[in-house]
Parts: sequence; structure tokens; C-alpha cells
Amino acid sequence: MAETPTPSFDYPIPGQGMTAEVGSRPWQNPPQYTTVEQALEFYIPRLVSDDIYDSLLDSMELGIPLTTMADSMQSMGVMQGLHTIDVGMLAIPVIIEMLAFIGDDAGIDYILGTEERIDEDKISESKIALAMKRMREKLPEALEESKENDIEEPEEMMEEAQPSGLMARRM
Amino acid sequence: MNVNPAAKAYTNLGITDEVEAPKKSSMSMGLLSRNSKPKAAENKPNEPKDRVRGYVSSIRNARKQITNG
Repeated sequence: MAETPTPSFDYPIPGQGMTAEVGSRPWQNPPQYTTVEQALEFYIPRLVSDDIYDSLLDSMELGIPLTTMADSMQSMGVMQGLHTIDVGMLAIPVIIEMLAFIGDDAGIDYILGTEERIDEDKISESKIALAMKRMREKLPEALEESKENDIEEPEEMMEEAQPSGLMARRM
Repeated sequence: MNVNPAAKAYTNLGITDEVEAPKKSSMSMGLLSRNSKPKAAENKPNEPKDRVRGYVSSIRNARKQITNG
């Protein structure tokens, strides 16, 4: 007689990895630095320290925007419970400016990340509609001729159609 | 469309490059003049955003000195 497998209840519940007791995470506890100045006193010396300085310059040379770097820095600070999100958002402009200062000092052509990116390959529908309207205004005759040609073509096709009956003459 | 909150926080600071000229004190120095002191320090905004604006502008000035030689 075949044995039926017994259900195991040792597996984790779906979503269990995303749950924890309230207060067990660093960001659920009171932050270490409560003001912008305290947070900046933590960040600024680290930016110019020998450990991080070279990797910062490498990241700038690779083309990573300074805004992205500053945002990831403050996100890590929030996750570690160093400061709250609002203090981090206030500290971001100073971190970006300090990163730009480091980049200028080292003579690196960095990307700030505040420039609006324009996708040149994508043309908006409003521009297409405007171009079509202008074309209709400028070339009405050409459009009418092309429409007439489009209508005439099916008639030619009809003429070429041959009878396919049993008693029909072969052309 | 830029969705990076850091870029918005940086661009929305509203820093102007114009340098404010120091105002001349109109206080007269006569014996019978009123002994009034300017209240510039009291009018200065002390919100965190204003302080951050000051920090950014000071670093930016130092950065300009580097780029301008």
C-alpha cells in the first residue's frame, strides 16, 4: 500500500519575510540624529574620508548622477535608523552640493541629475496631429489626387478578375 | 519625467545667485537721536529649509571659486 505524504507545516507563511514585530527594525525606533545639522555632521566627514573618496570619484566617472548617489545615501541612513525620512530629505541638497564640490575639486565631469531627459525618438501625438493639419492646409490638391488614385486602384483590380465558371471562356 | 525625489529637493530650494548688498544703517549718531538698533537678526528665518538653503549656497560659493580658478 502506497504511503500518502503528510502535509508539512514547517514552511514559512507567504509574506512572513516582510513582517516583524513593531520596534524590531531600526527605522521603527527613535532616530539617532534628530536635526539636519546632526545628520550632516555624520555625512560630510564621511564624504571626504579616504575610504569613500575614491569610490565616490569612480561612481562620478561612471556617470552615476549625484542626485541618485545622495538619495541612496540618505535611504541607507533611514534604514539604519540614523535619521528620519524628512531629515534625510532636508539633508539631500547639502549632500548633492558637497558631492559636486568634491567632483569639481577633483576635476571630474559629473552628472548632477537635475536635467530633464527628453526622448528624441518619441514624437508626441499632438505634434503629429499639428504636422498633419499643416500638411492638409498646404497641400490640399496633392491629398485629393492621392485619394482619387486610391479609389481608382480597386476598379482596375475588378476588371482583371476573370470568370471562373465551367462554361466561361478562357482568356 | 524625473521622479527622483533628490532632484526635486535640490531644485526646489529656490536659491538665487544674486548677492544681497549690505544695507546701510540709517541710524543717526546725534546726541538727541533715538537709540534704536536694527532688528535684522530677529527677522531672519530659522526654519530648517532656510538653514539648508544657507548651507547649500555657502558650499556653492566655494565651488564657484574652484571652477573660476
